[in-house]
Amino acid sequence: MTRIDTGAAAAADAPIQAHGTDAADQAAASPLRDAASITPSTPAVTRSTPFVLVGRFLTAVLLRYWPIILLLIAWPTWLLVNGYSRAVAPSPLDVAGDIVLHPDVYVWPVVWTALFAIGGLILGMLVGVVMGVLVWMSPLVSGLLTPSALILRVVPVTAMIPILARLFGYGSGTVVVIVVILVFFPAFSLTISGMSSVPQSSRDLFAVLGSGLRSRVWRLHLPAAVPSIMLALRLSAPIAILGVLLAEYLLSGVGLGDLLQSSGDRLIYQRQWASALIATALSVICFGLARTAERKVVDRVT
Amino acid sequence: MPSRDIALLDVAKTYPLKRGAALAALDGISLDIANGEFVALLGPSGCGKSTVLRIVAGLEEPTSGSVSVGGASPQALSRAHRLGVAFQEHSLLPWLTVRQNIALPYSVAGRKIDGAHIQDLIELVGLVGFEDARPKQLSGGMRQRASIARALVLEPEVLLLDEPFGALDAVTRRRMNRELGRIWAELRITTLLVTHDVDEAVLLADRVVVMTGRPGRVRHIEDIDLPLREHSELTRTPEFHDIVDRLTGLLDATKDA
Ligand SMILES: Nc1ncnc2c1ncn2[C@@H]1O[C@H](COP(=O)(O)OP(=O)(O)O)[C@@H](O)[C@H]1O
Ligand SMILES: [Mg+2]
Repeated sequence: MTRIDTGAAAAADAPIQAHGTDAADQAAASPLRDAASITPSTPAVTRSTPFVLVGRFLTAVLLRYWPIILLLIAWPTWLLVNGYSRAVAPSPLDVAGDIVLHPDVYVWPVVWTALFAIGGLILGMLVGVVMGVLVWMSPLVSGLLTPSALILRVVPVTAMIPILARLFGYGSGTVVVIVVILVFFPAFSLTISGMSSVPQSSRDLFAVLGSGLRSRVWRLHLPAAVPSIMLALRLSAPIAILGVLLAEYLLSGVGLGDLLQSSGDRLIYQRQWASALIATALSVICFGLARTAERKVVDRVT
Repeated sequence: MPSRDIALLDVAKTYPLKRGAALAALDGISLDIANGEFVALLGPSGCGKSTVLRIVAGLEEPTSGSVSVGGASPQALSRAHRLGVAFQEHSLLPWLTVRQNIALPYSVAGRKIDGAHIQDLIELVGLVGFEDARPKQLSGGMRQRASIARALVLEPEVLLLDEPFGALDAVTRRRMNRELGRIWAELRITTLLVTHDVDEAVLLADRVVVMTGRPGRVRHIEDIDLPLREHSELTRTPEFHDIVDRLTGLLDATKDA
């Protein structure tokens, strides 16, 4: 079987975890505990006054979301210092105002982008896992598929877009294909490494039970690969959003990527910035959902 | 039922180590286990007991010598789903419940799961109330008992047990010994039990094979003529203690050697 380097995927995971809210949770928790321990001698009454509660809440918010707060302060300051007018760069208020006043402009693009991202993500994960299982099971399939998988991985997806557009059209089909191309590889390589990570004692068990290859894959190696597959899902969720935005920006006439592009063309900057912000939020939400799913599933299989 | 005698003839096993070195784990092991016989393999830790068991299970090939089970290769027996093994490590699958783990041999053999039989076994090994628990929620002893139930579930023709009660406290261990003795007296499966507990070996086996270590060799074979499995009260008799003392002495001698 051809060894596939999953180091890159694992390495890519590390900074994401460091940026995740785990660290922020802990950071937020410890000062709160400190705050509580400052007043051990004072009776319980003072601890639960509204003032203290609000203070604690604000501290927690500040510690957890300081980058966003910083951004909201730095953004108008930057506009002011440079003397940029609205025509050049919108202020936070302009952006929020456009979302509040024209929700109808945003609803469908958000829906389309989310649907394409989720659909492409599921399809790409499926393709990756199925390919991974087949490659793991058969050296022949491995020889046939692995080189092409690596090529798809290596060629920048933007460079493929003209060809893909010729093949699949300038619409939704190509958007999905691009997401699948971006998403399948982590699933593919992590499935293979997960399936190979089965402890010797379990292999021995299936050997003495007289298990055939298929039963062994289905009952042992695939379940053992589930944590790795869920890791692939978490890594790929934001990438799926990125892929959809990129494809929409360059190709199709729908979605947030299209809104980003068309509002820029029409010089409606507050709308362009708002689309960018919403896309970011969507990406964060996708990542959060995938991470929650990963935790639940991994807890179930280990 | 076909004859399932086990025959080891002059078996040696060396494990290759790094830089061309090799470790002689077994040397010149010859042992016949008759159909329906219970043999215990007794020896200090590291003397090669598990290696013997893994060779009989078809998980290791002997470096020299031959092994056969019922006149065929050990692998033929596992392919026919007629081999039951409880490993030293429990090797329960973490994503399955106790009941599903015990049912696994049925699924692997492509047979219909007999729920009532599984429930009987769960009662037998004292895991009632834990049917739907997962391995990580069980104590080490409970996991070993689940793994014994899994080894028995297909009513195998050969049973291999590698220190199956190693993680149990002394009291539970005695109880499980008596239970196993009782089950075994009913089923009379050809059995090889690996243990370092002299009492356990003498209580359960028809014959006790004492091994010496590095490389593992057969030092002594003791026939146990007492009907201990059916009458565990005989463990209080002087005859039982004589045998235990003698075998313990042999074990001590192997350690000194
Ligand atoms: N796969 C292996 N590779 C190298 N050495 C091994 C391997 N398995 C066992 N050994 C060695 O063989 C010897 C016998 O091991 P084992 O059969 O497990 O002993 P026991 O079960 O009696 O404790 C030990 O010295 C052990 O380190
Ligand atoms: Mg051992």
